[in-house]
Amino acid sequence: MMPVEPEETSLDPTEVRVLLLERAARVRVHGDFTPSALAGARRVRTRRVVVGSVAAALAVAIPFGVATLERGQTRTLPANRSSMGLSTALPPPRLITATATAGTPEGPIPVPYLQGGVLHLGSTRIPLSVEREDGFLSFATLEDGGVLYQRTGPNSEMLNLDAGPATFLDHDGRVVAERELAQTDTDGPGGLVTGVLPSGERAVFDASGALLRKFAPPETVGPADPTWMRALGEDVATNLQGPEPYLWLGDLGSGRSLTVLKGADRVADKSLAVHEGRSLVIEGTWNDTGIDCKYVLNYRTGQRLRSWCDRERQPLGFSPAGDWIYGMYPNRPGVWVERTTDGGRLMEITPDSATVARFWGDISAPTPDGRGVLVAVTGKDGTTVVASCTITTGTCRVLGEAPGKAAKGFLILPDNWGHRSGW
Amino acid sequence: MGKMRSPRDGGRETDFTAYVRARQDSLTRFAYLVSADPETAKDLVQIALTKAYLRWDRICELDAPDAYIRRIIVNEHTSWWRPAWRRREVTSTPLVELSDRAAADGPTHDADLWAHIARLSPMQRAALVLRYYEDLSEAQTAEYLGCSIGSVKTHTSRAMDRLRSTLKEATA
Repeated sequence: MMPVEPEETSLDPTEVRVLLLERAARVRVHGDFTPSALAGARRVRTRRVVVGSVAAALAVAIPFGVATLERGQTRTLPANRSSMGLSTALPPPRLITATATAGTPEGPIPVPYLQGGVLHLGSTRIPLSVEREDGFLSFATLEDGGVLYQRTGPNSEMLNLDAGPATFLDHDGRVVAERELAQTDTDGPGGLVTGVLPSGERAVFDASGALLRKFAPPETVGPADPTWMRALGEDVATNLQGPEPYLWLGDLGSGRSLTVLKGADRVADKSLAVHEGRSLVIEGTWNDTGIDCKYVLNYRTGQRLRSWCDRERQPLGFSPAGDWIYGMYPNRPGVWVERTTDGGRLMEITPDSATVARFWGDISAPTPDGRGVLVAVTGKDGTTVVASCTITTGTCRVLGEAPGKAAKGFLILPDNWGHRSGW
Repeated sequence: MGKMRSPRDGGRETDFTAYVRARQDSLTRFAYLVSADPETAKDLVQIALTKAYLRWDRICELDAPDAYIRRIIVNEHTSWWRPAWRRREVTSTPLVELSDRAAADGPTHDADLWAHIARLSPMQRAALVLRYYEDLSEAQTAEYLGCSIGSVKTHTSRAMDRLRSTLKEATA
C-alpha cells in the first residue's frame, strides 16, 4: 500500500495579511518614546564599525617606537598608519588550523582595563569620571600624552548605542574639554579627533579638544544618516545612508572633496573595516538572492577588488599591513584569516572544547606585528585569557589573564581606539 | 500623514513630540511585525526615533516622514551586523506589550503560521510585512529594503514557499 502524501498546504497572501493585521492589533504601547528619543539624540552615538580587538598594550608600543604612557612622557609616533606592522611574508594559502586553549597565562593581561573608575594603561593610572562601572564605552590615547574617552549615556535601554560626551584629558589627567560627538574617531597618532556634531556637521578637533574646522559632505538625495566617519591620515571619509548610499572622501585640511561614490551599485549599506594605508574598505550589502555580500573596495578609486556572498564569514578587520583580512563566524565559535587580494585561506582558529567555555570571536584582533591573531577565551574555570595564534605556525600561546570580575576589560584596536569588551 | 509644519512654527522639539505621540503606536506595531519580538520592536523604534530627531529639520519637511522612519526600522533590523554584546535592559514597566490573547495562544493554525513567520530571515519577513501588511507595491518595497524589484520578488516568493513547506511538514 503506497503512503499517502499530505495535501499541498495552500497559503495565499491574503491569509498572511490577515494574520499580520491581527498580530499588529495585539501590540500595546505604554508610555512615551519621546523622552528617550530626545535624550539619545542629544548625546553621542559612537558606533565604531570595527569591533574591539585585543592587543598587548606594551606590544603595541614597542614595535612602533611608541613609548609607554608614562605621565608627561613624549611619544615618538609612526609617520602614518600604513607603516604599522612589520613586513610579513605570508605563507602560501595553505589552511592552518590553530586551537586556542584556556591555558596558563604568561603574566597579567597586557591590555588596558578599567577597574573602580580608574583606567589602567600599563603602569599609568587615570581616574575617569564615569557614573557607574559599566558607564565606560571607549577611549583613545592622544598625541600629547592625554586620553580621549567616552562614557555611556544615561539611557540604559540603548546602552551600546547611546554615548555621553567625548572627554579630552591632558597628560596630567585633567579634563581640558568635553565635546558632544557622534562617530568619534582619531587618526593613528591621536593628534586629530573627528566626529559628527549634533547639528550634523562634520568636525575636526586637535588633541586638546580645540575645534580646527567643520565641513559638510556633498548634498544627498533625501536625508542621509552618517553611519561611519573616519580620519584617514590627511583625509577624512564619511559613509552616508539615505535613499542612496554615499561614500565621501575629503581633504582633512581644506574639506575639499576628493572622491564621491554614490549609489547602491557603488557603495554598500555598511562599511565594516578600513585600511588607510591601502585605501581599502570592506563593505557589506544584500544581493539579489538575499544573501549578504561583502566587497573589498578601494575607497579612492571605487574599484572593487573582490567579493564574497555568504552569511558564514563576517569580516572584522585588516592586518596592520593590510595583506590579510580576519573575521568571525556568526553561528559558531572560530576566527578565519584569508589574504586580502584573493581570499586565499591562511588560518582557522577554533577553541579547545576541553578547556574553553566561551570563545570571544567578535573581539579578535591582529597582533601588532601582523603575524597572527589575538583572541580572548574564557576557560571552564571562569578565567578569561588572551591568546596569540600565529599564522605561519598555527600555534597559539596564552599571553595573559584578564583582570578580576570587578574590572570591565576592554580592548585596543590597532588604530588606537579602545572599546569596552564583552567580558 | 500629511506634510509636517515647519519647525519654525512651533519649535523643533514640540513638533517632534507631537509626531511621536501621534505615530508611536503605528511605528511600534510595524516594528513588532518586522522583528517578531516586542522587546526588539521597542529597541528599533527608539533607535529610529533617535535618528529621526537628529535629522528632524529635514525629515519634517518630507511628504511622508513615516516612510523614512519605517525605513530606518527595517534597515536597523535587517542589518546582519549587530554587536554580539548588545545588552537589553528590561525595565520594570515594559514600554511595548502584547495583549493577553497572545499569551493564551494554543496550538492553532494561526499561532503556527506566526511562529513560522517569526523564523523567517529578517529580509524575508520584512518583505512580507511591507508587501502584505503595509500593502506596498514591489517598487515601493524595493525602495524600503534598498534592493532591486527582482530581489523583492525573490524574498517574497521564498518566504511564502518556506511558510508553505513548513506548514506542510507540520501537517504531515
